[in-house]
Amino acid sequence: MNQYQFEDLISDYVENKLTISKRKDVEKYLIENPKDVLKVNQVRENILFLKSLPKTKVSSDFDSKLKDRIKKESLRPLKKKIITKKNIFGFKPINFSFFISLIFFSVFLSYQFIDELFLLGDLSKGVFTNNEIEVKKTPKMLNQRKITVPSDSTEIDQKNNKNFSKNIKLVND
Amino acid sequence: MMKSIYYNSLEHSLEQNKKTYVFSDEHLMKRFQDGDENAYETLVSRYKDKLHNFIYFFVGDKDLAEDLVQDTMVRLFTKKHYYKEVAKFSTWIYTIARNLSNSELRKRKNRKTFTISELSKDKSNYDLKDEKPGIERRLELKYDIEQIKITINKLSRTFRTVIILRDIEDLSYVDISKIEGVPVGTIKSRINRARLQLRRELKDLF
Repeated sequence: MNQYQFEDLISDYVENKLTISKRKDVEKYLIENPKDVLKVNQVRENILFLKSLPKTKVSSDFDSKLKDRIKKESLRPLKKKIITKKNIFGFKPINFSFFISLIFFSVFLSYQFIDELFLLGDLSKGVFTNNEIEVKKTPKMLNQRKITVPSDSTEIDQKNNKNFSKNIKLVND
Repeated sequence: MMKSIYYNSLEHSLEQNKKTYVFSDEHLMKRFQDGDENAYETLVSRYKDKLHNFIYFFVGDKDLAEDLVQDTMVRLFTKKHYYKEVAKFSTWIYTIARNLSNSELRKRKNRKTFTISELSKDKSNYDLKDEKPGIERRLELKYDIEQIKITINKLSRTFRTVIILRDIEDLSYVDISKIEGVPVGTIKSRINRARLQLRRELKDLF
């Protein structure tokens, strides 16, 4: 038996509720660990002390106060639970507002989607002139779209590949 | 009225001799449910001090404890039909008292008005008489009662409840497990841990 097992059994040992074999185990442990005898004694004395504490009592006017309260309680009308079933088209207000916002959101999304479809349709009809595609203006794209396509892809490479050799300076220069 | 006198005088004479009653709590409760208010009075007289003692150690305030006992008795009066005879009356009433005390402590905690200094306000209630015999007197020398009251209040609510019900109110493990609504094994373990914690807190007073 270790210390933790012993501590688990202290109360039962003090209250004499252990089986004979377990009681013997505890006693054997106590012989091997005499310092823990103090623990058992302290727990036992605490229990005895708590049991011997003077009992408190209610005040002398307790009964009369209680009678008054009960009289008041009896006179008080019974509370009826008022259940108000607020609903909008069969939905609770919170659910209804959620559904409404969901509908608005889906309408908004679909409008955006349709807008993009318009754009694709216009691109297919677009006119190619001198590396530029003039896109017909959709209702939402006024003032916005003008896509330039470079004539040669090497042009892009030249722009991106800056010549850094001029900026390199050696230490002894 | 006559019934009440009969009940109370009988109760009184029995209490003087033994702590056994002619009418069980459950029997009285049944009569009360059938409309006999004298049975209610008898139940109140049986339990008011026991509940006060329990709640006092639980909340640490004598006046508050009395108010809570009143609340418990009012609850008993108004909710009498909720009691079913399958349960012991004592566990039912202690459960009501514990629940009311718990919610009161929660309210006070939220209001942050519950202090340790409040707990020790009514020190005079625990002045023990000198003529106490035997072990009580001997133990009095070792412990400061006020200190033990504060130490009990330092325990968590779970530990406090079980230690009061077991060591102060002297209820059985089975009854405590019904009040707390947990298995007996859990109660045993809680009581053991609560006692060890109490020992640790109080060992300096030895």
